[in-house]
Amino acid sequence: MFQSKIGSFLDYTSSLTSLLVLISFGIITGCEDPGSVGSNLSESGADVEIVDVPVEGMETVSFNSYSGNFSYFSVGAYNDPIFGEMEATGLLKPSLPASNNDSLQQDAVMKMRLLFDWEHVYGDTLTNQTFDVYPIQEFWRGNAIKLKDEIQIDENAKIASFTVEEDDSLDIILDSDWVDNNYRPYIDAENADSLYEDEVFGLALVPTEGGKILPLNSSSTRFVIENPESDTFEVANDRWAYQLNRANEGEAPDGVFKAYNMLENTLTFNLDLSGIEVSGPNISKAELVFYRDETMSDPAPQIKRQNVQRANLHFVNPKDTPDNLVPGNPVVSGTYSEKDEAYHFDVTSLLQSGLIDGLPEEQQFYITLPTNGTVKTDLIYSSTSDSNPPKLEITYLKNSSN
Amino acid sequence: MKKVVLIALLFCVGSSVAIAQSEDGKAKSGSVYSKLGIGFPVDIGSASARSLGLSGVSYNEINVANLANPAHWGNLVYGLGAGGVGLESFDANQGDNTAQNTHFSIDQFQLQFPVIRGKFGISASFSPVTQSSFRNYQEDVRYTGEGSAQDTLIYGIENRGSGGANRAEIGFGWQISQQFSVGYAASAVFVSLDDQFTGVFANSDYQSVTYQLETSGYSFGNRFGAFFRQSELFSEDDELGIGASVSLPVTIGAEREQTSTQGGRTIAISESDGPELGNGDIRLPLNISAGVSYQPSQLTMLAAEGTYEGWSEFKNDFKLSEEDLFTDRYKMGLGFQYFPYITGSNKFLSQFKYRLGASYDTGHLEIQGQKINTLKFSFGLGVLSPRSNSNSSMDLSLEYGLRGTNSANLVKEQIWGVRLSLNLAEIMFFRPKLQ
Repeated sequence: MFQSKIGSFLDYTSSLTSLLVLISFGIITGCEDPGSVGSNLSESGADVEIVDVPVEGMETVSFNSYSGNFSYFSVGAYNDPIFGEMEATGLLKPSLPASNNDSLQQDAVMKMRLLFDWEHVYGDTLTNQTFDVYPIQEFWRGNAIKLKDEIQIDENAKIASFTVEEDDSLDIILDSDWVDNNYRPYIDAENADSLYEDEVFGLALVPTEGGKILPLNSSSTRFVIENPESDTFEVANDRWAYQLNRANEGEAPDGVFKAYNMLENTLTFNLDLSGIEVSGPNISKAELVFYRDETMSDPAPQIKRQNVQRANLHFVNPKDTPDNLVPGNPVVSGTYSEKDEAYHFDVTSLLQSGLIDGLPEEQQFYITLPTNGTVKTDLIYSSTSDSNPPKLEITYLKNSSN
Repeated sequence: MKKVVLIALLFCVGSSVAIAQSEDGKAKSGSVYSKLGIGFPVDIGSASARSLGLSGVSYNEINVANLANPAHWGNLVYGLGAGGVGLESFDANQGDNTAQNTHFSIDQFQLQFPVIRGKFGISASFSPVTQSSFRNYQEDVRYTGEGSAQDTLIYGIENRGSGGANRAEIGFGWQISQQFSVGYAASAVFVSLDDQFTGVFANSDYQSVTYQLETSGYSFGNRFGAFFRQSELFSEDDELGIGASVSLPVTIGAEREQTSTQGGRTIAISESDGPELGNGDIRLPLNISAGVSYQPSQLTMLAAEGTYEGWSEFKNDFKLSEEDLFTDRYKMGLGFQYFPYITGSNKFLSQFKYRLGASYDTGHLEIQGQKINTLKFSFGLGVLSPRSNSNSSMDLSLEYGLRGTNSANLVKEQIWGVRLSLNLAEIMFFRPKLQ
């Protein structure tokens, strides 16, 4: 009886209740426009704060790392008053023709075609740079040879000499004896590939006189074979690398570190998060900022040092370096800003999680300049510098209740 | 059926008015002043009492549950149930800035049973004590870097808050004599407040960041009530009612923590890592309500009620900077009701309960010397169940009010509200079993 009365009453009101629920739901799920009204009634309770944390314990670490099979390989020499006497010897080996139809006729000419990217030249752009080309006398692999490895070349058997002036490209005719003895026999031979691999080791481009280092694009460097009675054809590089000798480096200013690419001189530091009183999830942006010393200008207008625009930040176990300093897998890639003359590394995610779970104690931070086969240098203010020391800049939402 | 259509129409109109005031707003927020303290005080009172601008401490309607005065529970004849919902629109302005917010709320729920009919009754209820529901947004600029590297960081901070204090209460009322009744209720008072801050940046290199401040705690409260009525004072049908209730102060031991979410994980910030986190007290003030009602006949009633709340004694360990903003609150209300259905007329407009009221609330806030007062006008319509043997009803209340001031760069709010409550009075059929 009671239930039936309640039921009938609810039937009576059900249409209204449904209406109410529908309208209310529509309102609750509607869009919002709160405006700034009332925000000054009490203290906000939150504010955006920016805190700078100094980066301590900065050092440089040098590695002898791989120099082959990158986008570029460098050749040339330059004596830099700060970064020392640099001598880059290019190593390359022509491939055998890919097609069976391509062959070297008698009196065929084999040329090495070099295309120059003047944007990336290091040194005196107006100076002529001469090279001698010699045969390499020992086996090497493009993905195994390292920057500071010594490789044996036969300096008594010059294959070619050439001078780089201001041309965009250059075809260098290779000595016919070398071609006849070290290339032609392997084109039609049985087991040509393995024989060529085991018995011919390629060419070394040794700088002699001059004052600039030229990065050669590995994909545009070609060997051209001109047959007198048939079509000319090209063969690509089979492997490429370079060796860099650096001597008599000058002194960097106090509190400034020299950084070289190809892991030749990397910067390393530790980041102590224990003193940072910021909650990880409250971080909006965390940036490592490393300032460049721009006070050391280029020695002369025609002298170009490579203007580095990017650097990589790695966070790896020092025991496994340099193999774990993989160029393609940094924690973050930083960019150089002309505005404040500094590299900026966005470490927001790393710091957000690091402040919650801590950073792995066995790992260390490394900054590397681009590892791409060119020669790049930079001057970075260290943590001991009085001006522009590196810092960790954290922008976060602070609970400012009080 | 006509009644249903009418009340549906009124509710639609009321809702439309409320929504229309918020234009493109429809924010799930209430008064901007509910940001302060633990929210804006919510007066105990059904939709029917609110229609009169009163709480209902000074009169008792036999078919409608009354939460305002425990003494009324001693007069119970029927088993009663009541519950309601409300919709309020706040059209706020401050200087040249305006904001529109619409707030949907679930009002109190109450069950009342007569243990001894007309002598002793019990009540169980759940009702809000304070309500916090706000959202505001402020933009700011910070300069980063130095010299030529100086940059401008434009950001905004959105602050959303919700929750408040709620009371779960059980109590009894005892009619000592025909004229005098008393009542007592014990309650558990819960505080649950969420304050969320979100920082957003114009520069996409910056991630938006959100954290919450969650405050929770509970304590126990006591409420007393007394009611005196005298019939046949000036005529055979008249009745004078005088009622009062007192809620004692409640000190709630609460805990506040800061949490953030990252990668699906909720990270709590410890007390040592943030200001005003950890444990603290929230003290809710004394509340005294009293009033007088006079019914010249069963058709009409005139009532005046007042409320005092000692908010100057309010304490909140988690917002110490706001301590000076609170002041004692006084609220006065005057209401008139007309029940033409009692005449038994068949006319359509004579089948409803009509209520009209106004109230003035000095407010519990005083900011920069300005009291945040509220002036409200209300109109109510009660619809009886169409069943002849039912005493259940439905009450619709429409409100319009003004709160605050534009002086001292404060906020003035125009409030439109509509409330609906159901009053079930069918449970009387349990009475023989209970007795």
